[in-house]
Amino acid sequence: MKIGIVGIGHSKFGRRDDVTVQELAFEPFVEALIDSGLQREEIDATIIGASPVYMTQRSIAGPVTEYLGLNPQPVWLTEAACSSSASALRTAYALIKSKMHNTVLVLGVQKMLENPTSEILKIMGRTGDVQWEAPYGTTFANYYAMYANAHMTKYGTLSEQLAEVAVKNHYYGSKNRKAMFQKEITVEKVLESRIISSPLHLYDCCANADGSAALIVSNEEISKKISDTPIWVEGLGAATAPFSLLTRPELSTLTSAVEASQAAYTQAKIDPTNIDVAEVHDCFTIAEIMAYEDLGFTERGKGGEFVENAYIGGKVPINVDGGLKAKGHPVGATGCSQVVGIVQQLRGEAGQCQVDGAEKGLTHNVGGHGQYCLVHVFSR
Amino acid sequence: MLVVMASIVSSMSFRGEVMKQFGYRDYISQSKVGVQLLKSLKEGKLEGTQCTKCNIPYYPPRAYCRECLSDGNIIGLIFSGKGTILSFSEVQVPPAGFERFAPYTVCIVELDEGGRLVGWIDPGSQSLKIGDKVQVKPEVIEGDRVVYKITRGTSPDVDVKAEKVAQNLVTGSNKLQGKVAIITGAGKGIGREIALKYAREGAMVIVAARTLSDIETVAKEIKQSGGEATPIICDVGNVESVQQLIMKTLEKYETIDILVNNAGISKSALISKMTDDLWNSVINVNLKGTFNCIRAVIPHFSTKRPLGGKIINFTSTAAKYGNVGQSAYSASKWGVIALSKSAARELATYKVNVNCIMPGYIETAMTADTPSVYKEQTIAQIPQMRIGYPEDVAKVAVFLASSDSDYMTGSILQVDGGLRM
Repeated sequence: MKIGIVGIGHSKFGRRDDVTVQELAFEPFVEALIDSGLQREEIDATIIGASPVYMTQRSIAGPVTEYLGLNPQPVWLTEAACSSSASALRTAYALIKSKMHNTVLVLGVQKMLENPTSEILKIMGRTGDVQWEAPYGTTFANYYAMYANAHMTKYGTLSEQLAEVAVKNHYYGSKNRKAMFQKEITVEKVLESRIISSPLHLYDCCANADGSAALIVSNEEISKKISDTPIWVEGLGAATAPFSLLTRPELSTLTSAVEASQAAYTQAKIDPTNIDVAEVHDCFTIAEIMAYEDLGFTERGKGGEFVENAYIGGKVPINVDGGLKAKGHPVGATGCSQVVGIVQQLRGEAGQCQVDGAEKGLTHNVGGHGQYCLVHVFSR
Repeated sequence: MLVVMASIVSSMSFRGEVMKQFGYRDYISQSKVGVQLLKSLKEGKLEGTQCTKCNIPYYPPRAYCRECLSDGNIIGLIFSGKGTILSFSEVQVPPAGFERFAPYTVCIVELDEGGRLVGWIDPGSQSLKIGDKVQVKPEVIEGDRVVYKITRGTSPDVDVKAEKVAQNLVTGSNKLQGKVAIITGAGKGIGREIALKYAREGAMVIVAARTLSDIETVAKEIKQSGGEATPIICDVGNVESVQQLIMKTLEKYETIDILVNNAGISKSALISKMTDDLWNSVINVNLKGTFNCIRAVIPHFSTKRPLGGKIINFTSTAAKYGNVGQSAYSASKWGVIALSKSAARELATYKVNVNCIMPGYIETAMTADTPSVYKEQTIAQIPQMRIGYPEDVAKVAVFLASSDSDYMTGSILQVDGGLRM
């Protein structure tokens, strides 16, 4: 039995002081419901992807489903930091495959900006090791900066190459009305921006954001019945790595991403050259460069030179909806947002950022600073 | 200035401040290995752990081996402090609570023996490169504050080899919660280790021995770790002194639950050259001393309510196999076995268990003077291929003091790595 994505929805990402978390969840839900043509009663279960530590409302699965009118169907939360909603999709896949449910709503939602930036940095820092690392004021920018430093020292990667990733993603973000930032930037602007954690500049870092995205996932029979263009989940890879840098064997790669992608490619019976379009977890520019290598789009150490191949028309167009960099990164929503981007591409509905004839797409959603990674492969 | 430039400081006291601001529990001191770590840092030692079974060193220290998932083989390991910078980054936008420290540079140091630590480079990342060699040395400043002082390069005068230490780094599971335990010979070696371990298991410990400074040090160590201990001077060979020990204990705690007759001496001479005094002194402490303590505690054990108690006596593999030059010691220790079995029969009616521990070759002050040739020969005979540590014995002493061994009495538990099976 194949598993299809039959409905997608995406809220505007950014500062969303105008909505509660329930209202924020409602926006992509309604879009996805209309997109699928299903009725609420036909959704058997809901899985929320979110990182609850940022939000005032605790145990949001209950309040959200009540607001969406999805009682009494079951709901629960999956949490894997920034890869919470990719994990939710994996769970939904297993539930449908096991025939426990036929149609599942996967909804990633996150309100982060209820907290000031310094507080978010602190909360996020605790996703790292609170015993040996966080007490030294480590932040996520700091972790990725140490990866960047290691990558630069080992492979000669340059700050300009990091900046080019930001330039590309902001370019595509400028065309995405749901993105937090819709302005193009230049390499100079990136390099002139202030240092957050050396060598990463402000524009090397994605922004904390509020946002939500939804997917309606169904079994093969329903998918074919209700949709002319179901997008199939062809491969799911998930892997972990030591969560502490003190035990991470290598700092210039995310081994979890390597393992997860290999599992996904194997299940989908493809290799990286078959991917037509990809959404990768560019929480920092170095993360996208490491992803090029970890996913096998280029050789190890050549990520810095690959950026030009990640534009539309290049080898593998990557983050052509703006990525986390320009869209913003509401951690729990990002995994679903990436899938929405790929589904639009495979359906041919991506507008001016459409990759012509895209048949196979990939999402790469990293949790924490690499302790979790989920890679999904989709096809038309 | 150059010296300052070259130092990397990772401040433990700073951690404390931040912990408060963060509302964290102090994860270092509250982790299973944390109390020991803080203590070691204050002593200027970079102490991690090692699994003796899997031979894997851990820094930061781990209470459980990642490979065999057991805490049974974890011992302390002093790291030389030499290492390499793996990566670093200067934080200019800090998280809440760190504003006044920014900018600061976080770096990861890979230690030569394995393991890593995260700390701060002071005053910054200028001229620092990945791959720079560094040396880490914890130092106490301003009383209670501990810093890792990490200096670039390596200096020969601190060429410390990794050194194993026998310590229990794992806090207990409260198996002896609320019990009152007397441990004789608790000033050092096995007795000291038992005292520390019993305290970690929740017991109120009477640290008894002849040397005041030793027992005060042990009691202080226990108290600093949050345990309860009282040092009482006692010469087990002296009946009056033993009676004082029991009386003072009852005055303070009103009950006694556990008596560990660990005090012992070893004086060697061939039989042909053994003087009466030497023979008598060994028998008087090792055998008569054990008898003195048992006899003195019986009035309490026979009248306490509810009934119940544990007596743990110390024999030796030397009793079983004899030893050249150790006739008095071997005889005294064999005598302890017979004494224990008789006591086990007599005291069973009071629900008092009397058992013996028979240690093999254990690394203590008593065995420190052993000629290295003999030491190597002995270790070569041990199937488990290593010397025993006081910790190995203390674990068994916890078992015999706990309710886990309630249906055991008059038995001998051999703790010798298989040396004299």
